[in-house]
Amino acid sequence: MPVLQVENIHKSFGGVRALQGVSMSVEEGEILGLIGPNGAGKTTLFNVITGVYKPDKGRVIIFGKDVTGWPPHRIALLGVARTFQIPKPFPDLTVYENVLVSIKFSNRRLSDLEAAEEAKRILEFLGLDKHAHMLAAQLNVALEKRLELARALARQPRLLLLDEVLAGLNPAEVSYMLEKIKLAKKEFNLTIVMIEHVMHAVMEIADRIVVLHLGRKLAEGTPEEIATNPKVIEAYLGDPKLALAFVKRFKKKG
Amino acid sequence: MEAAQILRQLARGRLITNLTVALVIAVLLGLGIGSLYSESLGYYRETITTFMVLFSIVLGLNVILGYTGYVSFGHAVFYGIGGYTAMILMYYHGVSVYLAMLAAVLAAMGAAYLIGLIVLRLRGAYFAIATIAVLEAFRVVAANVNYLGGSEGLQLSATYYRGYSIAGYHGLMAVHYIAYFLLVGVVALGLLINLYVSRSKFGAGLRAIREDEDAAEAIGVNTWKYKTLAFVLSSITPALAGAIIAWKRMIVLPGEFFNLGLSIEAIISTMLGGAGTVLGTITGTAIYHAVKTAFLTSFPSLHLVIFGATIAVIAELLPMGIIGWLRIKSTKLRFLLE
Repeated sequence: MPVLQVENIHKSFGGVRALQGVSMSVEEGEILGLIGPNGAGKTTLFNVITGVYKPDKGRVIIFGKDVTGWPPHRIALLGVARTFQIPKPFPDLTVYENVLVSIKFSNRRLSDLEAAEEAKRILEFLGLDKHAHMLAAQLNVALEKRLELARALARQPRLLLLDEVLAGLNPAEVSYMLEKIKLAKKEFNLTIVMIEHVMHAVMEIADRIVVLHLGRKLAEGTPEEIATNPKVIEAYLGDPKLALAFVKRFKKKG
Repeated sequence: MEAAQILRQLARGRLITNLTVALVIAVLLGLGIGSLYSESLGYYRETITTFMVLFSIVLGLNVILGYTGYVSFGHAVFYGIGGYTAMILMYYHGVSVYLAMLAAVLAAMGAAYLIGLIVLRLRGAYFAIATIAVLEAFRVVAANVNYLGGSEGLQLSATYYRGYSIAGYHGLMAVHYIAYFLLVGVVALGLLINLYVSRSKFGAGLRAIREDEDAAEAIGVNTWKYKTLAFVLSSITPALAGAIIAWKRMIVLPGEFFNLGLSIEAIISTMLGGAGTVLGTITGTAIYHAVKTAFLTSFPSLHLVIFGATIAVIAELLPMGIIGWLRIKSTKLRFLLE
């Protein structure tokens, strides 16, 4: 049974048809990359999946349950966590408090001590323990992104939706985050859907990629198939040579 | 810092808060008892009564403004609803003040729920403006409906007070003392509500809403339910204070009970001490009330000017309030000051 299925999702904002019949499914343990040009509808799709928007048409099924029209907190309590494209930390709480709140609302029965230890463990995992008692408002972008991930992982989700966690990071920070995402996937037994524009990263980490363009699914396949798909190159990747370079990287690794 | 160490620090902070709260209630009670036996304490009894009225509104406001981040600008509306509900029952039906208080709090909670259904859909400044509109609407209704006494209000006769007595005082003589002790009870209840919010998962959810409502929803906080509950909780102590004061003054008047000025005083007190902290409500209200009383007596014609300037300076230098400012000074203080 797929962890996440979206069926024929339509969503319009006034005259803007953001999603026009998108369907896809994600299997357990998979990392699915969601790519496409700006305005393709990627974040809208995330917002439909997490219940922020109600789709005009279509269904969202998570862990076999039809959750279409559920409010976000109910979907979250099923075991779904997300990060936001523009980080939304709780600014006037400390990094530690940010993670602790998330643990408190994760449907686990933990004593105060267990919760505090769990928070500490998550902070250490993401190298945030040195900043534990700083206000989240004082973090730089890289640490803010880590906090977003920490707060999502603190819920011990089964399905994790990452909205551009790598955007704005330098190459060293990108590889750090990729490492952590891979580790977290293994440790927490996660299924991940990630929206990403950092192509080499998503090509490296994703098992499968879905390309959205103008609210429709343009292509779907392994990273290699996507990198060589002429339609994707024309709509999004742009440079055939660059696409070829991605393929070569795979060949070397493969 | 180890997890166990954090919990120890937090426990120490909670102990400090508990002791402070106990001390405040003991001092209030002590002064009331003292005033029963010493005429000279009468002035203090009356000053502290005004203080406790403001404090009751602050303690309610802190739940919705401090913890939840919704600036309820017309929070005195619940003071008014409490006062009018109690007065209607006492005036038309001769009900005792105790029963009237119970009815007042239920009416205010019901009203908070219904008002919340509308205004809690708004955020930020829009919410604040909507709450002012609600307060004004209630005032205008109270001033124009005959059943509510119109602009002249409803006034109880002295005979209503015959049955009340305390420590050898009877009737109207007893009212000031009884009102004082009832208000101490309301303040104690308000402090308990704030302690509960500060320490519970419910309160953690409210703080998440204050910080970022969308992110709160995404981590599993039922934001609609939480903020509605917070709004209902925040109406309790203002309503009780309103009922007591309606009884004590013998009269309800639209402008005095649905009073924007009182709402603003409560906001200033909450912000001055540090919104969203228990110790801040005590500190802020105490300082505000002391300064206001001092200015009022020493500069009768200039006190509003001096007062406005003081507030501007505080807002500029201490936007997080006294306790809020201390809480970001060091990790240790953050744990110690609740």
